[in-house]
Amino acid sequence: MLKNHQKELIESINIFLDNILKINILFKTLLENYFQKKFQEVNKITNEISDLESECDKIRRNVERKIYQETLIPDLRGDVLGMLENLDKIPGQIQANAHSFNTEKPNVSVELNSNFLKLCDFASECISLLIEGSRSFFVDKKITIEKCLQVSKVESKADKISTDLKNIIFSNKENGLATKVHLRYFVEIMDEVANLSEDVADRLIISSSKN
Amino acid sequence: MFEILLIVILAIIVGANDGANVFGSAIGSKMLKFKYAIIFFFIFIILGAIINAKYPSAVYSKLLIEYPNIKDIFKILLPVIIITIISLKFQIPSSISQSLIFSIFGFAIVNNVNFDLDLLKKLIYFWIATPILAFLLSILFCYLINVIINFFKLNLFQIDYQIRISLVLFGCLAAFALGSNLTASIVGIYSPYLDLNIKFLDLLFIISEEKLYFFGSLFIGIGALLFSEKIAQSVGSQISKIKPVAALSILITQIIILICFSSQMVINLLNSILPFNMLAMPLSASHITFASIIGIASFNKFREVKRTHTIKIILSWFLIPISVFFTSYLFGIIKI
Repeated sequence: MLKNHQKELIESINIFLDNILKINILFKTLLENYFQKKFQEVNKITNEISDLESECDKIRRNVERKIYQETLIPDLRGDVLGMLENLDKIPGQIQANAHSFNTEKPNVSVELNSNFLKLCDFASECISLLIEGSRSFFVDKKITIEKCLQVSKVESKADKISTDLKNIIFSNKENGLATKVHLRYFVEIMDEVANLSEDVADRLIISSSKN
Repeated sequence: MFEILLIVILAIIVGANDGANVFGSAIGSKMLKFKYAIIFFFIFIILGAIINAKYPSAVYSKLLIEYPNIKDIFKILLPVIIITIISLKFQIPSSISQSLIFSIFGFAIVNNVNFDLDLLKKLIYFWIATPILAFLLSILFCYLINVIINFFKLNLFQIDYQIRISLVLFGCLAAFALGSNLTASIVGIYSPYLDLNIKFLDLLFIISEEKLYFFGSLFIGIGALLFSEKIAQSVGSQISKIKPVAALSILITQIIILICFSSQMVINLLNSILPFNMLAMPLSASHITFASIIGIASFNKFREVKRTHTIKIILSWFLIPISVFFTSYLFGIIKI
């Protein structure tokens, strides 16, 4: 009845958040390797991302079950569960992106590389800020709001890069429409990571302000 | 034996009505399960009754200068039981102690029995003062608990754990404080007849002070076990949503007020400090809980308060004692 689950739960949540950060870093490495045409390495990193994503799912389910079974944090349960479920969509999206690069092998020309990497950096920054905000949600909600507001700003930068990329892709006269559409798809799925981060950050701001 | 039956009925009603007050806010805020709460409730309500119930019980014998014959006591208890059952039917928590005092008042007037009007006035003053005090104290405690939480920078799960432990500990203390108060309310009226010998069939029951308080509190526990679960689940939700920190401040408020009016040691200490004299007296735990919940609701500018139910409860604070008084008076006139 009065077992102290707090250490165990906080540890699990920290591992969950660390895994998202690891996936975030791994994706950047995957992209760099992809542009250097190291496809074997890309395949290896994709598998690593998949493993970490599965671990995230497992941890999230355990934490959710424990919170409900032990009727912990009754007034904030919905907010914490919502936060974990929404956060879990991010590694899912990155995993899907990694698989897409690994299997579809889009034909990215050299002049697009730097913009793709920039887009990846902005999405990655969004995730880092969101993770910091999520960690603070358990201790200091003011910091959560502060970090989550920064996510929106970085997401706008990601949107800008994504628009620039699409312009470059569609102004290219050498590529056919199929290649252009294919490349646009990759821009969109990478931008989606930043969009997802912004959505989670928005929900977190509401939860933090409410409580 | 009829007297014992009346005590049992009253104790069960009180248990159903007031039992929820102790752990109600903890159960209502989903911090504690009913099955665990009821175990602590049984243990501490009995302890509180045996140790402290004699002090607030004394009010009844002091109130009536010529104490009635034991056979007439049911005329005082019956109106209380009837009105309490009616108020429970309307899901309005009532104060047994107040009802009893007003029933005594009605009984005394119709039977020309002398009673201490000054003591009655004093009781009424304190009954008005305690909800106001509860309102203010709950705000103070809620603020203090939040300051402590912010100072130690605890995470959500640590706060949850600390509040859970505190709710159990303070819940036990509240049950102890309520044990003396509630038991005094229901068996206190029999306190002048202590060391009572009751014959039933060929058996002789010797009712001593400890036995009276023990059985009184035991049946309060049984009443809580059988009927208070639903009330406990909805404590607060009918008036305003309760969060765990609020539940804890409500509980601490209850303990402090109840102990201040039931422990002779605390009363003596307070009398040496305060400019007025306090006395051990039975209080309404329901009124204290209600006022504390309203106090907590003031943090949100009463936005979450359910107005209709709140007005109904406040009106009942006046209507119930008046109804008991007139029922008791009526029973006296028609010579029941």
